Parts: sequence; structure tokens; C-alpha cells
Amino acid sequence: MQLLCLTVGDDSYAIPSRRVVEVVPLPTARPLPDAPAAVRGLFVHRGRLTPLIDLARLLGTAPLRDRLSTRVIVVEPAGGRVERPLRVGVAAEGVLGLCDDTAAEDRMPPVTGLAAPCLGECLRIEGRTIQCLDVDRLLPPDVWRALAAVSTGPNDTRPSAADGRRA
Amino acid sequence: MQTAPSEQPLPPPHAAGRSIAKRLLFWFLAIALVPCAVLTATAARIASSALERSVRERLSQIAASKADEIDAWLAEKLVDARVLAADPGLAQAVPELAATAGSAASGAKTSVAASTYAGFLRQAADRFGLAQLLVIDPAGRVVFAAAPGIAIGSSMLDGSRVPTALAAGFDRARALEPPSIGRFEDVGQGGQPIASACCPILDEGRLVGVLAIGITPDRIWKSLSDLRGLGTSGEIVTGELQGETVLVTAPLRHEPEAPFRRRLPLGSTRGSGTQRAASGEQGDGPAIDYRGQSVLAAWQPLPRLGWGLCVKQDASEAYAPLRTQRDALLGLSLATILGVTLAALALARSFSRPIRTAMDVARRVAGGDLRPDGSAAAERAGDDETGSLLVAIRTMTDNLRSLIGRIQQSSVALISTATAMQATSTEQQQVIADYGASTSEAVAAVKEISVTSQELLRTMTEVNDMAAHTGLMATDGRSSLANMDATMRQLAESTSSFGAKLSLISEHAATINLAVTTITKVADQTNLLSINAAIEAEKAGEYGAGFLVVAREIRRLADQTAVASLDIEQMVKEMQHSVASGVMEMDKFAGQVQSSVREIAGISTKLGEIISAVHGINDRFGQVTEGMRAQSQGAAQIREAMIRLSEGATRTASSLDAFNTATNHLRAAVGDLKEEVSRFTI
Repeated sequence: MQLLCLTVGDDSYAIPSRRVVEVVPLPTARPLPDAPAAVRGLFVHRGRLTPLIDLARLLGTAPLRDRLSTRVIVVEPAGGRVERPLRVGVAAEGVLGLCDDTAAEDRMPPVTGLAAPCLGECLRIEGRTIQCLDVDRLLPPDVWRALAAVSTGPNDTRPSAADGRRA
Repeated sequence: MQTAPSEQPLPPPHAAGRSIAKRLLFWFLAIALVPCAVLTATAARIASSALERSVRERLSQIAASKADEIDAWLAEKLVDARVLAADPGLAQAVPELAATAGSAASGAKTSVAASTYAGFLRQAADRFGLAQLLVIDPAGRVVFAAAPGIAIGSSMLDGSRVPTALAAGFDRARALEPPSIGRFEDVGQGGQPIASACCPILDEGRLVGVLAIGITPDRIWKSLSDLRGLGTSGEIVTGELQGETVLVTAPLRHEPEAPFRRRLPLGSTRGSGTQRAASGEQGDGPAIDYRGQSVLAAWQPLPRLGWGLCVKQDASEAYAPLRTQRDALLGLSLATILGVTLAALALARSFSRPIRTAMDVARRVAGGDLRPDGSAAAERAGDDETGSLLVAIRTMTDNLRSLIGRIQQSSVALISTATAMQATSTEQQQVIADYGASTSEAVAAVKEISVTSQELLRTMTEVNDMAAHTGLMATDGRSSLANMDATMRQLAESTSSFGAKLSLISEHAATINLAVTTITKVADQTNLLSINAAIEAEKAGEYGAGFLVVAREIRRLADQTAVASLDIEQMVKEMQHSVASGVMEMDKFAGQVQSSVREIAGISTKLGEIISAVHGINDRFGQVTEGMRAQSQGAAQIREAMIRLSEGATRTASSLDAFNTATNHLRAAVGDLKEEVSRFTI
């Protein structure tokens, strides 16, 4: 399986490349007032309003440094409709490239309960420790739902979004 | 103190008199002769020019009258010819004569009318004094000839047997032109040359023949041989211009065979008057005749004959009155000189005699004889200036006599005075010797002063030189500083231009920075693209494997580009930094240069002050030196004065010696004087 390696701070993370729609430069995001700190706002991707998640905030490290190498990886988590899949932009400080998880020298299964639910297994590839991320569990379920409601189009209702924020 | 009247050089008794006589003679002659000579010369010139003018006028008048006479005679002959030609009988007789001539040629008998008219024509020729009379028919055939020489029947037109002037005259007459005298030419009968004039014979306006008359030059020669008023050497020459020569046409006084034989080449010196006359000129003046003699001549043309007429007289005869006048003037002048000389000699003698008497008296006085005498000479001389001179000499002798008497008395007194003077001067000599010693001491002291002041002066001069040298060095320093100032200014300018160039480099670096940023952005985009491509290739599974490789390669290139651009950016930044620091350094350097320029200006000003101060010192040193020099000179002068004083003392001492000697001499001389005076007989 191919993984897209990215960096936040000094650490490397990976996202399965199958879930990646596209990697784009950091766009201007319209902030969502009162939203969780990890949700940076909304941006337009391929004509669609797409939520933008700040990976640095999400992982609790230092705030995302706005650099030239800063990238937004647009991913498709599960939960969307077939005709209009859910898409979320994940902002990372850099993208290292693709790597094959079969080349991993060592691996550790996900530590459940202790850490954030989005963290998957940990791999050791070419002397680098790479933490795999679970795209479907990047945010708490209620936030995720709310975002999914926003992101999946006009069929969804405004109250459901308000519910998500309230939760 | 010697009296030696006999030794004084006196001129001999006659010298003075002779000298006065000579001078008187010279001045008399000068005063009398110079105006006389000027007057004589002027009068002679005026008279000779008037004489020459009158002679030339006379010659011109003779020439004019001869020309008029000849002209009148020729005109008369032409009238004769016209009268004969106008005779109506002739017009009718011409055909007869022609017929007769024709028949004569063929041996037929002559008609009566023709012979009658021929007789008339011969008579007419004889009466008018014509040498020839021809009647010619219009065809040019001669039908009548009064004299032999031209054959009856000969034609005017064949041009060989008939003279050319006659033929030319016939042509003119046939053209009904008025008659004119032709050239004199030989008609071939051995006689004189003949000139012809042709006149048309008209019958009711029709030309029936031509009458030709021939004249000999005898009448003209006769007129020309009348030489009245021309003296013994005068004559009249006529000539005709023929080509480059002038043919003489009348007998000459010295060459009777000349006419129509003698030729004078044109332009030669001989016969210049005749040449001018033949050339048609009119005038008078000195000329050379055909013999080469110098003559006075008048010339004028004779247009009717084509001749020139020259009346001349030998210069010797023409100018004879001038010579007479000159001789008379010379005689008069000589007589004047003789008279003046005699008068001057007499006058000189009358002056010199009394002077000689006075001289004799003076000589006697010089010889010591003062006895009263000479009154006789004074009375003899009378009461004019020389008499007064003799009286004055007598008075002088009297005065001299009384003077000598008094000198004899005074000389005794003089001897005693001289003795007293000698005693006094001996005392004075002692005093002077003391004075001389003191003066020498003073001289030595002054000499030391002088030496000291001269040394001081030398020292001052050295100091002065050093000051001047300092001033020069300061001046040099100032000029060097000026050069340095200029150099510093150039340096400042170069620095500012260097700063400007550095700014330019900085701008370029900024531009490079922009370019690098662009490259970086492109590399970033490429990176992004490659990642997306890889993701898509991954999604394509097996089919995207090849594309994945490409995407990876692209990504690697993008990374390298990014790294390289980062390097470039870094380098540019460093360069910018260096340039900025360079600019700063340059600014600082420029500031230092400016301050150096200001400092140099200050130093230059101070050096200028030093120079002017040194100059001031120089002047003051100069004044001091001048003072020292003056002092030294003063000392030298004092020394010289002292030396002179000392010398003066010495000289005074020697003078006193001399004075002593002189007093002795005086005494001796007074003794001598007494003896000498006693020699005079009073």
C-alpha cells in the first residue's frame, strides 16, 4: 500500500494515498466562528466549499507554520454520499512524497485508548518514524458529522450543522 | 719768476701784414665773384634759350614758306590740266587723234584736224611749262604725246611699258576722280623723272578720253635751291618714304647727284629730320643730317607730293651767336676778377702798414726799452683805429715803467718777510708730527670696529638666507598640498561613482532575487504536481506504475531545482549583504576623504600664513642687514677718513718742508727779480 508522507513540526505522518484526492497549496480559508480550534475554516476546492483541518492543532503540537511548503491534502473520508463524497482538506507543513508500507523495517499497531483516535500504526521506513493517520477518525464524531453535513451539499439541513456545533 | 722778453716767439715783421692782405683778397674775390658768376650764368642761360628758340622758329618759317610755294605751284599745274581737259575742242578732237594714231600705226595719212589740234596741244604744253602732255582714249591707248618717251599707241592697260604711276592716274581719271599729282618716276628716256596728273575729258558727260600732264621736278628744285636766310651751311632736303627707306628727291648742297638715287634707311641715325618729314611729322629740334653732322632742323610733310621737307642748318653755325655771347661774358668776368684783386691788394696794404708800426713798438718794449718813444708813429698814423692803437701802446709803456719802479722797491721788503715765514713753518712742522701719531692710533681702533661689524653683517646675511630658504620650503609645501588637495578631490569623486556602481549591483541583486523567487515557486508547483501525479498513478494501480516512476523523477528534479534556487538565493543574499556593507564602507571612506580635503585646505592656509610671516621676517632681516651694512660702511668710511687725515698730516709735514724750500726759493727769486728789474732802463 502506498502512503503519502507529510510533516508537521519535526515529525512525519502518513496518509494512505488511495484516500487522497489531490495535494494543493495552502488556500485562503474563510474562518468558521466558534468552531473547534482544529477546524481552520472553509476553502474552495474544485468549486466546492470544503472544510480545512489544521493538522498541527489537531495533533496538539505548535500551531501550523505558514510556509511555502505548506500543503493541503484533500482527502475523502468515509461517510459521504456516492454522488457527492465527503472531502476534507488537511493542512500539513510539508509533503515528503509517496512511500511503500511494504518497505517498512518495523511497525507498531495503533495504541487504542491512550492516544488520539486518528492515530494508526507506526512505521519505520528508511530510518524515519512515520505515524499513519486514520482519515476517517481525524475529528471527534460529532464535529465530523457536522462537517460532513456541511460538506455533503445542499441536501443536508442547517439545523444538523447547528447541532454539530452545539455538541 | 723769470722775465725773458727776448725769448718770446714773435712772428716776422711782414707775416701779419701778408696774412691780412691774403684774407682781404680772398673775401673781396668771394663777395664780388659769387653773385657775378650767378648773374652771368643765369643771363647766359636765358639768352641762349631765347636764341635757340628764335633760330628754330626761323627754320620752321622757312620750311613752311617753301612747302606753301611748292604746293601753290602744284595746284596751279592741276588747274592747268583741268582747263585743258575742259576745252570742248579737245573732246571732239580725241576721236580724230585716235583715228590718226591708228592710221599712223598703219602708215596712213594724218588728218588735217588732228594735226591742227596736235599743234595746239604742243603749244599748250610749251606755254604751261609741261614736260609731257598725253591724250589717252578710254581704251587706254595713247593717242597723242607732246614729248617723246611714251610711244603713241602704247596701252595703259598692258602694265609693262607704261610707268605705273601714270597707269594708276589713268585708272583714277577713267573713274572720273579729280586729278592729283602722282609719284615722280623715270619715264625711260634717260632724262629727269616725271610726275603725272590725269584728268578725264568729257563730252556732254561722256568720257571720251583722258588728258595726262607730266611735270619735271626742276621748278621744285629751283625753289628748294633758294637758300636765303640759311647761312653758309643751311640747306633744304626733301625725301619720299619708299618701304623701309627714304629716297632723297632734290639735289643736296654737298651731293648734287643725290636726287632719286640717294636713299636713307628708315630708323638709322643719319638724316633723322628728313626721315621724320617723310613719315609725315611736323616739328623742329636738334637732329643728325645725312652726312652724320649735328644740325638744328625743322621738318614738315608735303602732302600733295607725298614727300617730306626738312630745313636744316649746321649746329656750329646755328649756335654761333651763343658762342659769341659766352666769350663776351667770360671776358667781362675776367676783367672783374682782375679789378677786384688789384683793389683788394691796395686796401690790404693800407691796413697792414700802421699795424706793422705798432708791432715794432711792442717789440721794443719786449726788449726792455721803456724809454718814451713812438709819439712820432702815433701822429703819423692819424686818428683812426690804428692811431688809437699806437696811443694805447704808449700809455701802456708809461704804466709799465712806473710798475717796474715800484717792483724794485717791493722786492726788498719781500726778502725780509720770507725769512720770517721760514721760522714759523719750522715750528708748525713739529706740531704736525704729533698730530700724525694720534691719528694713526685712531685709525687702528676704527679698523677693529669695522672688522667686527663686517662679521656681524655676515652672520645676519646667513640668518637672512636661512629665513628665505624656510620661506621657499613653505611655498613648495603649499604647492605640494595643492596637488594633494586635487588628488583627494579626485578620490572623492571616484568614491562616489564607486558607490553608485555598488547601488547598481544591489539593484541587480534584487532583480536576481525576484527571479529566484519565481524559480522557487515554479519548483514548488512542480513538486506539488509530481505528488499529485504519483497519487493518481497509485490510484491507477498496475497501469500507473510507469507513470509513478516519471512522477517521482519529476519530483526529484523539482527538489533539486528548489535546492539550487535556495543556494542562489543564499548567495544573492550574501552578495547583497556584502554590497550593502561595501556601500557603507565607501560612504565612510568618502566622509574621511572629505574631512582630509578640509584638513588639507586648513594646512594650506596655515602654510600661507607661515610664508607671509617668513616674508615679513625676511623684510625685517633685510632692514637689519641693511643697517649693519650701513654701519660697516660707515666704519670703513671713518677709517678711510682717518687714513686720509693721517696722510693729510704727513702731506702737511712734507708740504711744510716744501713750503720751507719754497720760502728759500722765494728769497732767491726776489733777489733775482731785483736784479732783473734793474735791467730795465726807466
